[in-house]
Amino acid sequence: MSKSVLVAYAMVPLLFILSMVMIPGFGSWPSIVSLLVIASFLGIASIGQTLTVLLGGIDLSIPAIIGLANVLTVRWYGAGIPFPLVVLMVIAVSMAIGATSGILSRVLNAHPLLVTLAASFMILGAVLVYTEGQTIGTVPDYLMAAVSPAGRTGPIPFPPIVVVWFALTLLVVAIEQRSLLGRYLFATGANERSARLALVPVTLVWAATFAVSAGCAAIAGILLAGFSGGADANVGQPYLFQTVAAVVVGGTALLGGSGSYGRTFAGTLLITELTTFLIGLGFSERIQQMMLGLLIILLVALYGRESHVRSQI
Amino acid sequence: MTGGEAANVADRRCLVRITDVRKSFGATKALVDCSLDIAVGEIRALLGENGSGKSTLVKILGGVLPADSGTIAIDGAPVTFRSPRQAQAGGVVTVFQETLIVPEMSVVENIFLGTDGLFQWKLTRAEQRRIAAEALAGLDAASIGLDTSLEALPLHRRQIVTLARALVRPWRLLILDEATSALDIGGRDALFNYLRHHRPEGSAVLFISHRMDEIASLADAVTLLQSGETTATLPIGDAPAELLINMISKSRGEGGVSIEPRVRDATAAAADEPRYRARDVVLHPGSRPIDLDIRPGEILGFSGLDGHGQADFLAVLARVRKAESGSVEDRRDGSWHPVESMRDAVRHGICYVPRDRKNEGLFGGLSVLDNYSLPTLPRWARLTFIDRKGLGKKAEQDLNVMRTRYPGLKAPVGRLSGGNQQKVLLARWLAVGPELMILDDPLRGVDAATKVEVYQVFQDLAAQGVTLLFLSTEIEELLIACDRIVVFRESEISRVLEGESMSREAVVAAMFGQQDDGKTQGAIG
Amino acid sequence: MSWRLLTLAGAFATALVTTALPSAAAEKSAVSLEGIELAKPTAEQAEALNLLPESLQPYYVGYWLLAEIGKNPYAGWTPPEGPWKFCYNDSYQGNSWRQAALDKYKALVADYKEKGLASEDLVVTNSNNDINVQLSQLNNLVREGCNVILSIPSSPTGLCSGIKDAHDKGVLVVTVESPVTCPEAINVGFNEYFVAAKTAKWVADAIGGKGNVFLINGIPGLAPTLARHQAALDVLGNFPDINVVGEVEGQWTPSTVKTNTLKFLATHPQQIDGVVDSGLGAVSAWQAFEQSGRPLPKINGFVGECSYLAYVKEKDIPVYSTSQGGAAAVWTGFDVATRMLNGEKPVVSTLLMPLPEITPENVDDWYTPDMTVQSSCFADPPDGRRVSPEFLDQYFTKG
Ligand SMILES: Nc1ncnc2c1ncn2[C@@H]1O[C@H](COP(=O)(O)OP(=O)(O)OP(=O)(O)O)[C@@H](O)[C@H]1O
Ligand SMILES: [Mg+2]
Repeated sequence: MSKSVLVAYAMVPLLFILSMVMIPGFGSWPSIVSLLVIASFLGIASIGQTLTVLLGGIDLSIPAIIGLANVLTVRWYGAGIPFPLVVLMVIAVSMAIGATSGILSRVLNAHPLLVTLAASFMILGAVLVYTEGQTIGTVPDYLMAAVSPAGRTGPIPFPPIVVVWFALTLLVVAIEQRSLLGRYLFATGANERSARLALVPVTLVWAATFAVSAGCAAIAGILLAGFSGGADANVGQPYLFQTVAAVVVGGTALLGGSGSYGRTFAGTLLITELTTFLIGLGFSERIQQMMLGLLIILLVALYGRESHVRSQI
Repeated sequence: MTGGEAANVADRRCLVRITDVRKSFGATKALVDCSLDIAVGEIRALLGENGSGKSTLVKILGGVLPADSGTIAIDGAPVTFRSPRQAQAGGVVTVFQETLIVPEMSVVENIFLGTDGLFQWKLTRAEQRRIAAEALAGLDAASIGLDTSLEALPLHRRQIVTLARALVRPWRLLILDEATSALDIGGRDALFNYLRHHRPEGSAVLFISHRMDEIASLADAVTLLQSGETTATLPIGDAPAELLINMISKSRGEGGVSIEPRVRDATAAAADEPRYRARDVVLHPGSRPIDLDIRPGEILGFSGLDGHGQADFLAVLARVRKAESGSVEDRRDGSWHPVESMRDAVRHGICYVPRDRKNEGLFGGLSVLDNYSLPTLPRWARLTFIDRKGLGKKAEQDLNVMRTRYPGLKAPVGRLSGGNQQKVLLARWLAVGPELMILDDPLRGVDAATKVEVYQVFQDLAAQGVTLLFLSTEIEELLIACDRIVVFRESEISRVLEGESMSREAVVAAMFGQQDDGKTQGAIG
Repeated sequence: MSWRLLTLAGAFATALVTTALPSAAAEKSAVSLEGIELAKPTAEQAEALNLLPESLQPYYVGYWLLAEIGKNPYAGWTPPEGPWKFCYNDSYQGNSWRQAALDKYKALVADYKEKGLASEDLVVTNSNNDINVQLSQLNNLVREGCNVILSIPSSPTGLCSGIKDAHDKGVLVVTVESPVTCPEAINVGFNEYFVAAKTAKWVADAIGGKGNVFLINGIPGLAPTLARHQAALDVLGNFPDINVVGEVEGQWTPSTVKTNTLKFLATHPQQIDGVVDSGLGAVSAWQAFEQSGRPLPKINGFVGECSYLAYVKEKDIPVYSTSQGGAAAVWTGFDVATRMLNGEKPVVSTLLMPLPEITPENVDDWYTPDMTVQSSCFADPPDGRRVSPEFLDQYFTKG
């Protein structure tokens, strides 16, 4: 188990060194900070994907929640609501939607794939109805500064978004390892029937996990509003494939019950590095995706070797 | 079997010779000095505490694990099996402790899984069906449909399919690693009968079990394995159960264990008001409704041939399974309250330990600590974060009471030996501190010495007023540990035995639906 | 005609186009394509161009990347008597561009109704990008007795049976901004290739014809993406001292542009002098430069983004953008339809027009103080029109 964590973490510096050798400028400070900022969006959006995958599910509504949060933030702040209140409201709305998806998955006994897909359509549809296609509003300047690679967090030479990501990573790993929800999550993901018999409140765990997932997607959506400076319901689109990829590359099993956000953290860095490296070599988006696919197959082959019959007898 | 026959064993031709085999998992030394000869025609028992290395030896013989050092020779020629396939090609066929099946596939498909190339000629489907049917019939299980998927079968039937799968392969050494622990009396008798009278010429059996009665009735000789070391081999006639138990538990540094049946003041107990009761519970359409009163502080045994409703009844009591009709009730403040759902059952102090530890009990990939703590976890949470120090201390205590051997609280529970896994499961539920504890075959795979200690734990609990419902396939165990024994037949209560009427014969008779005239058939003895 | 003659004719037509281009475009345009070699038509394409009067041919250069042109399918059509029933066969209404188009069309029809020229308010359908739904909605509109149907088809082929049916029943179907391949429709729009070529030329001129440039592309595989990309490469290929150092996939989404530009800059330490954007990416790209601590390059706007105008105003840097607002687009479609109702005949089936340009000279007419770098609106032409009525005259023969 510990071996595959090493794979992802070892590849991050290896690819970095390779890129630095092959691409001039890759190792410069502004470049590194840029990469970290870009990785932060993916990393924050991947928190929910990791947790729902650990639960044995998947969350396809992450892009829609990002879009929702993005549009609502710009609109509500533009309408004069104080920004902290906007953030709270957006996160609350998103978490309520996530909790509903989680509960519906259990109550209807439907795969979360279907439920969150349906939720995506409804969310994006509702955004259109609510905004009538008009993306008006604005974001505070300090939000833009918070996600700017040129920004700083007090004495720390990184913009606040990177600090937020690192802090969230520590928090999520602590929740996974040390909290009631975390342990319930792993047990439910490993074997839902056993979990139920072991008095785990399974439905509640599903609700909470999907709520947290949506909450993190909302944070990503809010930060993206600062990044692009405007609202766009489709801003979350890239984060469907990428969040799943970050989870898989990190080495969390899609079957649930085994893995950690600590791995996804490495997966996120690796993916961001790889795509940047390929852009540096002048490859198109298509080639980048093919290479990412190759990376996934390579790593899955490595990880797959570990769960052998041996461990089941 | 007679002692005279066993004495001949040494003279016979040696089939398998294991010399000085060693195996470690990290810091855990599973096998330190393991040497063992098995003669042609012999049935050899291997006896040892949980975690003493039996399964590890089996896995090495079966080609699942490589040994760190030492040699294995068959017919005098050294062999190294790199996979179960190679082992099978060499005539070593193993039934592993944890059943390995493909639940989605049918019985025939499971029986012939991965056999291509093992038989000299490839079997047609018709031949496969014929051979599978014969093998099942040989195990007195012809009623298992060849096309049923294994998902639909209960644990003991799956186990029979696993046995059939081993028996259809061309074997010379058959290894049974606690392969009987999930069988009921009927299945076990059929298997033993087959091994005694119908096994192939020139073959031998290595038989692992924690049940002295099984070893005594089947084996020619018994080898003791203690902390990874083979310490003695005795002909079966020289090895009465008490002696064996005391020999293997010596390593605990105690004066040995004694098995005393539970004594309880029957009149005082009968005077108690029932604490829980089942009313008009119908398990199958058309079967007679079941009424049962359960008194506080009693240990109530459940028995019956497998599939006759006793396990279902326990699941119904725990509200984990739905009955056709009927109610389960709890007496609080002098009046009866229905228990509606599993959640409700938990609120009424009922907890349930299912039988199938791999699929319904433990989480193989999660740590010992997780597995132990899940139901009691909220007690250790402050603002959702868990007091891991306190929890860890409590876990170590409780696991020690069960004499659990484990490399550490963080180790995945799947790495523990089978018996130790079962102990983790028991420790988990004892920690909950329920008022009614429903245990479906809780001591499967637990070694004999520990069992005795667990009986003591049960007695102490009962003395504190906890009620235990205890299903076991081992009649002796029920006789020792229980106040009353409820015997099921065809989804109805066949008899409730109490006090003087509790005897092995009476239980078996009730299982087979006979009057208690002392004549039983097919029992081990 | 033999193929040899055809090629000759083609070559001649090409020559015509390339020489005619400057003179026709120069009179109003800020950016001239004079002396620039652009995409060459095949003989067949050149022949189609010959349907057009010479003065219009420059605006059709490279049209084949996006549209087909043919003879006016309504040449033999007798327009119905007014007042007319106007209808709108829309495919999506989920963005501000579509909303502006819808509002404008409604207002134009309301105005006509007041004058007694329209029989009722605008009838609107919306298919949410489902082409089959749109087709059945089109059929319904024909059945309900619409005289004019403006349509924004969500596929260039999917409405053909409905359009043919409408044509046969004497109903005028005009597509706006998304030309269809069916020969029975009138298509009104602009020439992606031509507009993108002028835009790229502006960037090339703005950096003095030399230096490092990269492109920001749209959503892969779509016709406008291909046309804009091709035009930029064709134009920049005329400048030996301009070095195209790479391309960034922006997908017309600011956050994507910013992400990919940051990655691009992280791996391209050399000085970047210009960026050719294909839409909605300029401000995000500039922010990426700023936040990476790099000097700002020259970047064009593409669709008259308010944020672009606000940014160039704030930084006081060179500006160039065309304007493609929905209101102006639908107005042009409406103009074409009403001219035809009044008996004018278009010279070809597909009317491609130049777009209004925002330049340092006229930027103050376009910019309003409420525009900020966060605005998501598009600047509309001061007079609300794409082209003047006089310019539009060139596309018609009086009936
Ligand atoms: N894969 C493994 N990794 C680490 N330790 C292991 C592994 N498999 C077995 N062990 C350890 O080796 C020891 C021997 O285990 P083994 O399964 O052979 O015991 P056993 O005699 O079969 O016990 P039981 O009667 O409970 O089945 C135990 O301490 C166990 O924890
Ligand atoms: Mg074992």
